[in-house]
Amino acid sequence: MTPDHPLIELVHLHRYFGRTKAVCDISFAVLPGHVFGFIGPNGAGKTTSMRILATLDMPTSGDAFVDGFSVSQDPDRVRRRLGFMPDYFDTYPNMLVAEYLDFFARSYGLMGGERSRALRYVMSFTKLDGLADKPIDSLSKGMKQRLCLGRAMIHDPAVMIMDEPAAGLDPRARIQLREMIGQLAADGKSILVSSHILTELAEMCDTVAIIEQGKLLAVGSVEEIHRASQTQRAVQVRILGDAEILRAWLSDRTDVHDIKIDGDTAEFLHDGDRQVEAEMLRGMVLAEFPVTAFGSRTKSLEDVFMQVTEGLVQ
Amino acid sequence: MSTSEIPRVETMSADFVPVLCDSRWDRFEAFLGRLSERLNPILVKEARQALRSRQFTVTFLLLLVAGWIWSIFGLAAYGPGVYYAAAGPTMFFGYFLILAFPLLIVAPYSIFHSLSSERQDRTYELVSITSLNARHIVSGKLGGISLQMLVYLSAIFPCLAFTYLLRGLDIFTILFVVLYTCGESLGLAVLGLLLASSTAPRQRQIVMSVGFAIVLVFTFFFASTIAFQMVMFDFTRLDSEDFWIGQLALLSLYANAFAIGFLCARSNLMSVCQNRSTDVRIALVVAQLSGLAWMAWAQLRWGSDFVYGFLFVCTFFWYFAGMLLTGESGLLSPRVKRDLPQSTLGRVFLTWFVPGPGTGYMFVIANMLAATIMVSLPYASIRSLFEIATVRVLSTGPAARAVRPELVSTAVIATSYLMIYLGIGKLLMSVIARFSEVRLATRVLVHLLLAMLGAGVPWVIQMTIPELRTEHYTLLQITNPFWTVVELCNKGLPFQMPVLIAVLPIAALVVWSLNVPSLLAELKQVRIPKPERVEEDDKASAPPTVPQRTSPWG
Repeated sequence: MTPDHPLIELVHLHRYFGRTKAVCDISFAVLPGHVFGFIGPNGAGKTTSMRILATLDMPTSGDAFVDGFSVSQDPDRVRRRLGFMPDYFDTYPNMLVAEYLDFFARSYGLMGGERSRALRYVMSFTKLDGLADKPIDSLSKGMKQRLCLGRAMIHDPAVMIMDEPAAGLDPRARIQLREMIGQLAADGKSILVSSHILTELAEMCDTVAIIEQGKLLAVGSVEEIHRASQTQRAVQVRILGDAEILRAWLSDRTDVHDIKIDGDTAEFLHDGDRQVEAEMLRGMVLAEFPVTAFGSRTKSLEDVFMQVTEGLVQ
Repeated sequence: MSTSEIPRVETMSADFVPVLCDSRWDRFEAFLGRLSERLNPILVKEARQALRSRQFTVTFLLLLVAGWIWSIFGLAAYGPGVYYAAAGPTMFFGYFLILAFPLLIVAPYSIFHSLSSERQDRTYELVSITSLNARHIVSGKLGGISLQMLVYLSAIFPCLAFTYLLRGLDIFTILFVVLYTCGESLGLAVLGLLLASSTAPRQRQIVMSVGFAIVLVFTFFFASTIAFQMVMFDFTRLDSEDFWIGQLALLSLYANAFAIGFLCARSNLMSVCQNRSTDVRIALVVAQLSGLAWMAWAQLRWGSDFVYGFLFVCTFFWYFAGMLLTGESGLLSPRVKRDLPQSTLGRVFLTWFVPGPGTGYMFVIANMLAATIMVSLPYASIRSLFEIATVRVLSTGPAARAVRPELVSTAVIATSYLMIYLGIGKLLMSVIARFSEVRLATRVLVHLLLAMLGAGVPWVIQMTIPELRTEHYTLLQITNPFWTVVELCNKGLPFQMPVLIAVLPIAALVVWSLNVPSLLAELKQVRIPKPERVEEDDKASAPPTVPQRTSPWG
């Protein structure tokens, strides 16, 4: 496989449960070293897509590929290349942290020194060194998440799939998890991660996909989605004195909507791009408005998400 | 079973640190280390978990305490008489009951519960996406239970050794009873795995667990009765050839049942894209061949009529097998298609081992026909078989008696019933498959309902008609396979035979022909090449150094 060949690829993936279309015609690809964010409301089809990729479910039609291998036809080959971190963490009773990781290392065929090295590396990476002899049942949620990450990466997979890895973690643990994911991507792994914490996804992902009711609504970098979704840009203008004097001037323009005046500040939406904004500012100055600040507000990922999705569930 | 068989991860290089061995003990320790690397990971996990579990600790302690109490109580009851009375069998039976409880109830139930709860808690999902395959999982679980069994056995072993020192019991009886119990325990463990792997929803698992618990309790009492007979009534006749042959026959029966159970449990845990049927079909054929060999041997040795019994068992064996095989999906996954036979010989002889309802139906019929021919051959030449099937069915002359026409007729009728009921069931399931997935329970239910209809309706009709109520077997029961076959085996039904032999095979052929179109659709499927990426991966992981021979069966 070449470096520019996608390690994760979904091709017209469909998954129906009776009449419910959990996943409907989803296609995207993730290149090596990239972190791909999967965003969508509850019941949007994120977990179903991830379970199909992890070979835990079968597509109704279409297919998904990991490192070129079909998840529906060659699950055994896919599994060797994939680490899956589900959104649940049910543990074995009567088992220690080190034994848990050792079991999965053995299960992936790691033997002897190779296994010892993998265990040492994973324990150190996930900062579980001091907890090796602790029963899993006694671990906190954050520690269990780390253990789960350790289990998923014990065999050094090329692809990692993480379903809500930051759910229930405290801010410090989230930051640490984000750093770990960044480090894994820097090692050349393809990472597919879903989360409800959109700001975090925006920070760690190269590409995001927004999914709702099983359908992919938008795919691309956060910037690309911004651009695509921002048909109207929000502009904020501050002047000396009451901004009410701007209202009449703005209302004369056909491309300006939703004018709001609050003291010395005027906010409005317009249909144009940055070039139009520049012309607008020039016009204000020429009309001798005492402009002290002029800026268009960039929408956050949350704004885009809210705009793109309708909060529909099946 | 070992980790060496698990496909290795290529991304990490293995460079073992050489161990400097100073003494024999160091070398032994290094050997043990290497050995532990080759253990099945599931076995390691199960052992770690089990030996630390409360259930194991409690059971082990109870076993020890019960052993001590029985020793003290038994010896106190015998008093000084223990020196001359035959106290061995009684004391041993007490210890047997103490050992049998964990072996026949606790251990099999815990293996069922282990797999069942793993599937409920979804920890099984995490194991299933590792490099371990279904065989590793099933054998690992069995290994874990064997280990527990050994620990229980070692706890009670001093007590068993003590009974050998008492009068009235020989060491072989002790060995046989213990071996039988361990064998039963492993067999029940396979059954537990089969049940736990058959269904995933919690409600069905609960029903399964109750059913399995009842089976275990019954087996415990049954095994206790057998053990009592063995211990009290001088079971081992080591100088008798028949005794050893009987043990061998029992062993082969056990091995076949174990293999079928193991492979079915493994199939349940395999991915849907994989071939889950061929290995089970091979095991079914081996079981039939083994049964046939034992039947032939018994017939030759004792001269009694074992043929009817064999035919009877064969009919039900293939009926139950057919229940499951005729409900398989007709669509082969591309993964299975990669390994389809493509040579002429392969397609003629091996297609019937390929998954699918049509091939399953033909597989069952072919095996039943093979059994019919095999049991008939010693009694009849091909020519006389032909005569029997055509004009001499009712002949009672010496020649006809020599070729056993009633036997051949019974075999033909039993095969016809199999073709009719499985064929109709298969047609019904193909209709159901258009609307929903045909699950295991659906397959069994459809066939059982069909058999109940065929047997129950005419029986009810006969019982409700006053003139027929007092009659025994009438032709109204022609759709009742159970009554008909039993009557054929017992009395031969000389008056109804012409109708039965005329109607049933024709009906069977009609049902078979109705199934032919779907069978042809299955036969049209041909081998497809491996995807390029898979070829690349195969080459990278195992570059062929020796030119491969081409098999005519491939």
